[in-house]
Amino acid sequence: MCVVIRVFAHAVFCALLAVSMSSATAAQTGTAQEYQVKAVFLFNFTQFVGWPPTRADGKTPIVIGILGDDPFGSYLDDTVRGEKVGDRPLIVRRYRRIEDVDDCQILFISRSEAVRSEQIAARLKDRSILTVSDADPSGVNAAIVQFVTKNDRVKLRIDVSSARDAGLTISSKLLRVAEIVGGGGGQ
Amino acid sequence: MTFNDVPIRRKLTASMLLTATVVVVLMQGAFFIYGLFELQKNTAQRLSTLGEITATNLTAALAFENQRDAQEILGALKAERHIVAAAIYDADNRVFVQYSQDSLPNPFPSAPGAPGYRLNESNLEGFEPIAEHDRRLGTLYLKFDIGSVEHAWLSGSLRISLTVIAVMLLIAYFLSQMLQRQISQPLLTLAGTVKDISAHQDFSIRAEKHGKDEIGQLTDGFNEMLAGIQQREDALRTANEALLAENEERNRAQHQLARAQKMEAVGQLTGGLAHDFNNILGVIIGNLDMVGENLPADSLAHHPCNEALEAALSAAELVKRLLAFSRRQPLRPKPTSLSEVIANVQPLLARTLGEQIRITTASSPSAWLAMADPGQIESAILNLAINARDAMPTGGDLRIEQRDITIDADYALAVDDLKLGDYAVLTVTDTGIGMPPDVVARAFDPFFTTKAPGAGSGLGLSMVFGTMRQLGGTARIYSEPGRGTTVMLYLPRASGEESDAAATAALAPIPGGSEYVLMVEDNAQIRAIGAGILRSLGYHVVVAENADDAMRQVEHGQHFDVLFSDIVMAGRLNGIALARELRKRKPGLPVLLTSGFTSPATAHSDLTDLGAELITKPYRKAELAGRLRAVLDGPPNAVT
Repeated sequence: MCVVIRVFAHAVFCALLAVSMSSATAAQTGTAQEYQVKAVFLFNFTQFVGWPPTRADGKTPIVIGILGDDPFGSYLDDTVRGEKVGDRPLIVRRYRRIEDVDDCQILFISRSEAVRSEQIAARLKDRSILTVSDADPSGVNAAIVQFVTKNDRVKLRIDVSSARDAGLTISSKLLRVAEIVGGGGGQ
Repeated sequence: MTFNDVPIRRKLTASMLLTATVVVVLMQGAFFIYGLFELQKNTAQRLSTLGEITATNLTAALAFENQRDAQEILGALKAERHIVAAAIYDADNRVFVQYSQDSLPNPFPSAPGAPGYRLNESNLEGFEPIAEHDRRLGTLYLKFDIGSVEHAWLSGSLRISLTVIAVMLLIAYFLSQMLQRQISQPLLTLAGTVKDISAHQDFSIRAEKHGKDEIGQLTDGFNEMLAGIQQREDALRTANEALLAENEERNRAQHQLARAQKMEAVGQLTGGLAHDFNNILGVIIGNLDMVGENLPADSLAHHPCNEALEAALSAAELVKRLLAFSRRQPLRPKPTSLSEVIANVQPLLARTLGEQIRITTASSPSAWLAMADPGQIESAILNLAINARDAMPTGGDLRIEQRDITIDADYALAVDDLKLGDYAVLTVTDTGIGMPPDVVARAFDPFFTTKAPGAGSGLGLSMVFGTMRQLGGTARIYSEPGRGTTVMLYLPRASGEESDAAATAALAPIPGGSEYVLMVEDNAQIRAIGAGILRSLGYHVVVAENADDAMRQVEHGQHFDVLFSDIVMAGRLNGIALARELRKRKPGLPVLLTSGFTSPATAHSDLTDLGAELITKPYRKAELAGRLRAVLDGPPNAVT
């Protein structure tokens, strides 16, 4: 019963979101509506990305982390609340510094941390974490998934070689809807 | 023309074709219904699969709100041209992306319905949930134009189906042509046989049997019927032939009977006439004899008297011939050698026939003896020879032969008026003009002649025939016009030896006697003549005018030593009966009978029984004297 209400609420929320998206009024970036979409996208990644199996899988929660300033407000928490991937519950964790990042599957790197991208990249090297950022894409230290906003639409840009290096499996369906970079994938 | 009049072959073909057609059409109908059902099921299945695949592919597009990608995926459905409309609703049931063919007025519903596919008019439409890891992301709507698919399938299948039906019917037709022959051929054969039989009326034809089925049984029954008919027809034909033969036989018999009756009638007439003539001649001859005896030796009346006597004797000879024909001539048949008769008659023939005719004879003394009267045979040969001469006016050959013939069962068929037995046969053959069959048939008829009036009496051959019949034989004529004629005289073979006793008696002197003679004669003149002759011979004569008169005198004690009686007399008893009656009183009584003729009933047998002698009227004094003396002096007669 509780789940049904949640789904309903979520649906109503999405509907509102869609309406706001289809209206071509929002011109500026970084609006609340934009982050609502991004929050849903973050959640949806759990559906299309596979992580390498760990020793303590089973019912350990899937953690969506936010590094730096939180642009989502309560959107992400609302989106994730009550959702599960398989038997794994979803939780949101906020990290101030890269050193704080512990057992995490998706890490949103806020624009506030963009300047430390090199350090972050080095820190997260060899860890199976899907890094997501909406900062301007730059260089080799960019996040695996970049949110690119064009014409009020949030698009995805995925660096598949980084994803591979991180040991992540990205569904072809997700790749289909994204712009692919770092595609020297023919190794 | 009703179906019943259609030939059986066409009936069979039609039935088989009709059956095949119905079966094939029903099968095709069932196939259609099943095919349509399957088509719908398969189409729904396919659509569902297509929907599932599309929905799976659409998850990311929905999750990341990528309309372009969703549009692309949906556009791929265009490859399936029967999908006339498709739409994607997002998780909030709003239309996310849409696609429709031909700009339909209401291509898709504004909001998704329950999952699953259903038929709506000619369209199959349904909703497919789009979900990733059990998370519902939206709904896919598909609208499939199943009507056009069905239509295409139907028109395609119909074409195939019609081809199949045509081919199957063609096969069925040829099969039925082959199979119906199995059934119809025996029937047609049978029908053909029936037609043949009725056309030729030939019941020996048999229908050919093809098997043991009902038609085979029918054929058997038919053949049995035919056998029955044939048997009956054969029986009918046999009966008919027998009837015809019998009829012919009867006609022949009737013909013979008529002929015999005619001969009998003529015979009766001539016989009666001859009898009277004989009596008259008897008186004349008797009186002339007496006159001649009483004339002085030098009287001039001797010559005319002798002439008159000769004439009377000639007349008597003629009467004898008449009697021979009528078979009432008293005959004294005895074993006779035909070769001797032929030898005796040959010089006379040579003289009679002249030099133009060559006579040859073939006879053997060792041949069978005939039971015949030699004088009659001689006269018969003479008769035939004269006929032969007349048939050969320019000369020719006359051949007289003697043969021995045994008439057995086979031979009797050809000579049907003869009894079985041995016959001495005399044949007289000429090389003359011959006779046509109708003349041959009448040749033995009395007074039938082909000679000029006055040239022949017409009695010659009939006399010969009568004599032969009286002797127990017959005469036959074989003649071919232009070739000649053969007459065959069949005479019964004699069992005994030739006797020549009578031949010597004529030369002896006239014997007399003094015994008492009882003379019975109903003719007064003959009675007077006879009594006169007897008295002149020295006998005592007691006369009676009939049998009753004679009996009366005997009962009154009249003495007599010998009976001299006429056979045929008016009154209760004839001469033979009288003789028997008197023999009872006077056993061993000598009897001499006399007659102008003897009826067949009182011929030889009665005389033999009595042991009586016969003297033929008209008789002469010398003859009577000799016969009477012989009777009186003969061995005692058997007591009867």
